[in-house]
Order: sequence, then C-alpha cells, then structure tokens
Amino acid sequence: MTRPKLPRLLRLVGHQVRMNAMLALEYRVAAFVGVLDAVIAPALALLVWLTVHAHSVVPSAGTAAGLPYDRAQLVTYFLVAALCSTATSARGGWQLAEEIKTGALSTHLLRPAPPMVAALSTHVGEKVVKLGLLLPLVGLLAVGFREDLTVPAEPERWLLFGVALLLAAVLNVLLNYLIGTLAFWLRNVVSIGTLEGLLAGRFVPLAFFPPEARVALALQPWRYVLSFPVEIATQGAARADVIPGLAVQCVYVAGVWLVLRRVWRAGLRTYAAAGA
Amino acid sequence: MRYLRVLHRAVVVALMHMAEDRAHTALVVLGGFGEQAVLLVTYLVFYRFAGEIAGWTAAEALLLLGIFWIFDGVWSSFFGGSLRLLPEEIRSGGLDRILLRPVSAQFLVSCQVVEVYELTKAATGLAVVAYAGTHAGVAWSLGGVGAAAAFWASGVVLLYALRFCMAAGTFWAMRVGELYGLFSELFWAGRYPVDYFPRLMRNVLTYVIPVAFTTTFPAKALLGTADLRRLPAALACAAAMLAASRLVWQAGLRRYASASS
Repeated sequence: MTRPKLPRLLRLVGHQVRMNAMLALEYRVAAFVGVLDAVIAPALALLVWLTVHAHSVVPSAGTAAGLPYDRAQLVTYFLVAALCSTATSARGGWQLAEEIKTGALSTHLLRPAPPMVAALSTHVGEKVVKLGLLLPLVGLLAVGFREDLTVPAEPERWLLFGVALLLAAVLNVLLNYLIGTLAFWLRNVVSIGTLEGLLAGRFVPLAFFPPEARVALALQPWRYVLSFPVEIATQGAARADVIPGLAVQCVYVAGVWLVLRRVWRAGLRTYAAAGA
Repeated sequence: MRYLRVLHRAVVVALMHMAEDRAHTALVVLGGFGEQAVLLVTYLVFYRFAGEIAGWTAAEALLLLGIFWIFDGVWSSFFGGSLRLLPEEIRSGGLDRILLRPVSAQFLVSCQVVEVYELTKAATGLAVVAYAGTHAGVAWSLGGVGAAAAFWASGVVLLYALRFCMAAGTFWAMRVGELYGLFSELFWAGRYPVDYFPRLMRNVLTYVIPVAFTTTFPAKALLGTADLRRLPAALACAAAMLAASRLVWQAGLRRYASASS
C-alpha cells in the first residue's frame, strides 16, 4: 500500500463523501429512523430528569446536595446532547469488524487510500444527510421547551463549542475504529455501547455523579466524545476549564491515533484475507 | 408437547453453540452484566437527589428494575433474536424452508433462534426482585405474586404481538421492518416506572407500546398498590392481540411469493 499524495487523498475523500451522502439519501427511511431514535433517547432522558428534578430535595446544610442543574440547564443539556450525539456518532468500527471477519477488507486494502478513509467518508457523508433531518426535529423540541431553553449568547463560546464538537467527532471515529480492529484477534467484537454511553454522559450528565468519581470521569476519553462539547454549550464547564479541556481532547485524538496505527499494522500482519 | 420438544431442541443447539465458542459466550455474558451495572448506576444517581420519585422509593424502583431484567432476559433469549431475523427471511425467501416444517410457522419464526445466555439477566433479575422486595416490604402473598405474574405475562404477549406484526409488515412493504427502529427506544423505556413520565408519555407507554404491563404493573401488584381491575382487561387484550397477530401472519402468508415477495 503506497502512501497517496495529499491532494489525491482529498479528492478521494471528496468522492467517497459524495457517494455516502447519496447512499444515505437513497436509504432515507433508515436514515430518518436512525435520527428519530437519536432524538427519542435524549428526550426520554430529559423527561425522567425533569421528574427527578421536581422531586429532588432542596439542599439544606449538612444533607445531600441538590441536583447540580436547574430545569433550564437540563433542557439545554439534553437538546444539545441530541444534536451532538448524532454529529459525533460513529459506526465505521462495526463495519471494519465485519469486513475483517468476512475478508471483505481485502477490497479496501487494494485501493489507493487507507481503509480508514472509507470509514471517515461514510461518517461525513452520512452526517450531512442526518443532520439535515435532525435539525427540524430538535427545532421542534426547542419550540416545545422554549421557555426553559437557554443557549450561550457570546459568539466566543459557540466557537469553542464548534471546535470541541469537531474534535469529539474525530475522537469518536478513531475510538470506534480502534474497537473495530479488535476483530483481527476476536471472532466477535462485543458492543460496549451502553458503557460508552454512561461514560459519555448520554443519559446521566457527568456532573451528577458523586464527587469521589468526578476526577476519574473528567479524565476518561469518552467524556470528550459527547459530554465535553455539551458542557460548553450548557455553561456547565467554567470558562477557565474550556481551554485545558480542549488540550486534553487534542491529546486523546493524537494518542488514540498513534495507538490505532500500531494496532492496525499488527492486525494486518495477522490478517489472512479469508476471515481473520 | 411437540412444541416443547422443538423448543427443547433449539435450547440444546444454543447451548452447543455456547460451548463451542466459550470465549465469545463469556464476553457476551460479561457485556450483559455490564449493561445491568450501567442501569443500576443510573438508578443510584437518581436516588442521590431524591428519597422518592413520582411515588417510587429506591427499594421499589429496584424491585421494578429486577422485574425489567427478568423481562429483558426472557425476551432477548426467545423472541428478540428471531424477530430481528424475520424481515430478512421474508425478503430473501428463506421463509420457504420454515414453511415446509411440520409445526406452526409462526411459532418457528418467533423463537427459532434461542439465545440462552441472555437468561443470565433474568437470573440477576430474580435475585434483585427477592432482595428489593424484602426491603420494599412486599408481603409475597399468593394473590400479589399471581397478579404480578399475570400482568407480566399479558405484557409479554402484548409486546410480542406488536413486535411480531411489525416484523410481519415486511410482507406488504419491504422496509416496514425498519420501523422497529422507531420504537426500540420506547420499547425499552419499561426499564423506568411509567410514573416517571408526564401524562402523555405515560399513556403512550401504557396503551400504545404497552411496556407498563411488563414492569410497572407487576411491581405495583407485588407492592399491593396495583389497580387489579385492569387485570382482566389486560388478559383479554393480550388474547385478542395474539389472535390478531395470527390473522396478520396468515394474511401475510397469502401474499408471500417465496423469493420475490
């Protein structure tokens, strides 16, 4: 496999992104179902948390602390989470695991670009269509909860949110791909989606965990896949924490990328084309 | 008897598969426990902030969680895998080989793939029900347990019929099977008491996608707070839905044209 020059690689990516966007349009029912699912899950979470909020004890001296978020922050958290989880969700790894199992990976290996490019293009191509479908749905929810929705006013915070979201998407694609490479050694890669969801703050905002767990939760990679950008938008993350957080995110992206490269090469050596 | 024998064979085959691929079995079972742990942690976080949520204390919610796990285990072992495969069987014409067999085809397509390892979830569920029930002050009277079991069974039948009809919709439109994706989140919303939701959602989860019957009502029956007048209606609805699923299946089969349906 030779290393393609950058312009050529970009052309290839552009081509595959277009193809995948068209594929997602072709299967628009499936895309729509996926998107609706992505909204229903955070909406259910929001409803449950609003109930918990209504019954939570008002904090008094010496007793358990109250819910860290008020009603408005809960609404904002889960609406932004709905957007972010669709924007960052990745499934290239599952595809890879399947291709390693069946030997279909060989086709990709013959192409003049690393197979990772295919995964990335699938991701971007799908997102274009899915986000287009998702925005009206989230818009509807936003109208439904308009009294409680508070979004940051400063453009600077939105900029930071955008950067964090982009890094989150890249990190998730890499992590997902890394899990997929396990198929070189395992016959079936078991989904750890539920655990990832917990660590990413998909159903329970990470700020709700007991203080003893908070440091560990703040440093693990899945926080930077979803929770971190959402925290920026809900102002849960103090301004001084945002820049160090972005730095951690970059470190994770670089780190996972390096690990992935090594694992990938080792995996290819064990790969025997007709099923690993 | 014959159906029990078929089911018995399916379980034996599943056990053989598990014994063949022990590493995978261990991973899947571990993954199941991990899923349960995540849900337990979620509940623990809820009750960090409130002593009682929408009428449910922590012990009572744990009781409901145990009942949900029993449902999850039984559902995923017998129906989940098979009904997931059904749309593809109809589309590809693979249904032919099932229709040729001398037992009810609906029975075969509903539980031909048994995933026994999922029953570990049900085992955890039973233990949790016993533990939480004692803490929540369940009297374990014959009537209470009987009513809970009846609610639960009618809930399983209702959900089965609904899910089965959705999968069988593939006879009419190729992509109907995918609609299940729309419901999957709501389908698993039974892991929370329906009282956690506002009225509209509560009604949806009771009457449209009746998950309340598999968890909320059985838990209330054990606690002695269930509205038992609902029970005859639940059983009647379950019977009617089961009959309806049979009609849908037969109508679908009349349309079925093997490979090109």
